[in-house]
Amino acid sequence: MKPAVFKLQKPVPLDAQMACLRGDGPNLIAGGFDGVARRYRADGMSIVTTGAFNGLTGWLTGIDQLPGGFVVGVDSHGNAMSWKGDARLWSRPSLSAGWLRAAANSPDGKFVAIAARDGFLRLLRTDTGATHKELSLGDDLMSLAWSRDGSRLAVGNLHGSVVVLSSSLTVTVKFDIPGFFKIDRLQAVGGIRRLAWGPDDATLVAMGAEPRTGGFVQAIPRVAVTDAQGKLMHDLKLGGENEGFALDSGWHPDGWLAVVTSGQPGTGKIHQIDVLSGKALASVPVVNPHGITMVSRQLMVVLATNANSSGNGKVKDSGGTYRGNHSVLQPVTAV
Amino acid sequence: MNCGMQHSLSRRSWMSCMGAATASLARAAPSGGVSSDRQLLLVWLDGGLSQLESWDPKPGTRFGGPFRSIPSVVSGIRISELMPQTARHTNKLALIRNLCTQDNSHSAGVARIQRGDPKNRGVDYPYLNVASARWLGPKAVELPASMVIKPGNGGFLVNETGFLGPRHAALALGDGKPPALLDRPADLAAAEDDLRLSLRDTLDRMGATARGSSLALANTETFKLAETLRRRRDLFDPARLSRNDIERYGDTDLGRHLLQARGLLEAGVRSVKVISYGWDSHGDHFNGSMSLMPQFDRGLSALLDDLGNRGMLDHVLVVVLSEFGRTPRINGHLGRDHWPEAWSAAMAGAGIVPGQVVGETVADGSEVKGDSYDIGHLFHTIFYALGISTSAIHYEQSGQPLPLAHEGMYPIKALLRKPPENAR
Repeated sequence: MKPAVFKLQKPVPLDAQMACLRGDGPNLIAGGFDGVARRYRADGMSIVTTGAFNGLTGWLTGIDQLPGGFVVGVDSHGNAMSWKGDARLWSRPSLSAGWLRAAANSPDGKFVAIAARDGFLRLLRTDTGATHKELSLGDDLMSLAWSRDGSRLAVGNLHGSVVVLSSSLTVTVKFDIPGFFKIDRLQAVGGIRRLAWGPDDATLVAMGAEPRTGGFVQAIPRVAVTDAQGKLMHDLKLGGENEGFALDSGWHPDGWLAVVTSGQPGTGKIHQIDVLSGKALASVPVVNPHGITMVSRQLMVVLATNANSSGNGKVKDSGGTYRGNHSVLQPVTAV
Repeated sequence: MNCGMQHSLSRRSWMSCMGAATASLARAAPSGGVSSDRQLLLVWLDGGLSQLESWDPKPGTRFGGPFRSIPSVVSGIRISELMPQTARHTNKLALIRNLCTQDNSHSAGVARIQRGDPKNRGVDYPYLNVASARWLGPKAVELPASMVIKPGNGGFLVNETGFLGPRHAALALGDGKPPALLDRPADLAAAEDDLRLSLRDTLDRMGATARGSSLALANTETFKLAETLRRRRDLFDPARLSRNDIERYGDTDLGRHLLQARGLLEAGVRSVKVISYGWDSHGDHFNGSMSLMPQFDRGLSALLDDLGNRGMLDHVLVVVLSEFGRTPRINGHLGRDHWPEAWSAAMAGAGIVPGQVVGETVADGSEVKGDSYDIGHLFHTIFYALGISTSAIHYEQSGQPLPLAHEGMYPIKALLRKPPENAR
């Protein structure tokens, strides 16, 4: 596997701040702080808006889509909703009392798994939204990943534990990966922010950070590769303690994992990881990235926040207006 | 000088520190002090509590963040969903949502807010807890007038005293534990210790008589304080806190320290400050808030329960304050930065009209709507709530009369049960 050469293309500014990004090839969907799911199409290096889904009220922090146009979104107010084509398919308001962190469709398209801060893992039917099964795993569940064959579902939590379940939600393995969590003063810091199954469908990739402090949150981005039983095979630290969390990832068709890390405002990188050998092959700086999806062998799109996003006090623009920040979609070529 | 330094005090620095603290033990009413049964509890959330995740939520707006607001026991007052237990106590609270202050840095803001940001007269004003204790004097005969419970080291907090001088320093219990060097060393027999204390007392008296040494007297007073503190170990021995109480307040630094503060107030300490660190959430703020806020919510709620049930809110004024709030704008690391422009504080208890919100911010929280209050307004209000008239009393500093609070500002009428004539 050779190091990729990344090249950042012209970024596309969005009209709001987005929490997450998922893609089905060129069809992208981003979940907004305003509860709106915005659809885009990556057409070569240009990215065009193709529509939006409304209805959720909190931060839309978990989103997934299936070929054929099924989209599911979950928000920080505990609501879940799905859309198909241009219409709402079903709605599950107040599915949870609190934040729904992540959603992932099963590979066969029958179910959507939803991870919640209340510790519940729920399996809903994608056609009706009815609850198929639910299980309390007793911790803030932050990430989800189905194996490619759909037989296993991995769930990562705030305290750095991973639970692997069967497709019927029977727990098969539970293990801790030490170092993904810390209490600093009063603050709980860390968590497994992203999970992925390896190319062999047997290894698991847990992403997050080795936290050092709360507040600013100083943390070393971390990618831990384990076997399916939780034995640590590789433990990659992707930078220094100002570089924050490994927040999202996408598989390249050539079998390497693209991981985005974001630390102090203004920093961030895309990393090329060979998961099976446990090597970081290449990286490129990107400002404030927190989502990524693969469009094609040559193109990926990164979800990021605009530059100069931080500052104390009432930072105004040249016209004297106090503006919020916004997201950008950053096309990146990799050869 | 670090009076909080543990186990490494030379005799000279010990004497100096102890001399600094003597006035905390003053037995007489303070010169020019006021007669009042009131006490102050200042809960200082160091780093900056987010008004949007606490007292002034703006869900569904561009800066509102991921959380909802919830109704409270007072119709029309909604607070963050991260404070469900405190929502049952808004009938005891007055929320001030229109603070607009001057500093957006910790280095300036922490001191400036706690000193009340008076006009610059070339002197450092004392912190609120120290100033209150100075005017109200000790309530319990043997205990310091001003005490602080904080994470980390304890000792006498000389830097808070400003021009009042180190003799007004509050005694801080680091991690809620007794002051260092309080106990007799294990290898020193009680009889031998008594002998040494007797000898020290004799020498101190001789020194005081022969040379008029205030340091010698300070040393004597400090050893007396040590005796008192040893007898009142129940006030600051975490091992003696009730398990049930710890459960109610939360088994966290903040919960335990608020519980200890209740004990100090009951024992008659005039001014108690609880400091909580770790609120400067520039990054990952919302995940951080989900661990920070429940600890604050639980501890404050239990405290308000207890103070209310014991009738203490009649004479104890509770103030929850930071050096500033946090930016409405959410940065690229999902954090909020420093924000003095439009933020909130909360008060409860003595002299305050509870169950209300004073002031408001615009829909997205980016500025105060209508009139704003600076920290000087809040200082006038707090002093009046404690029974200290800021128009009748002033400091005397080297012959110069100095107002207690910014003379360009005034008490907030809506907050005070008995507002003075100059309140607005």
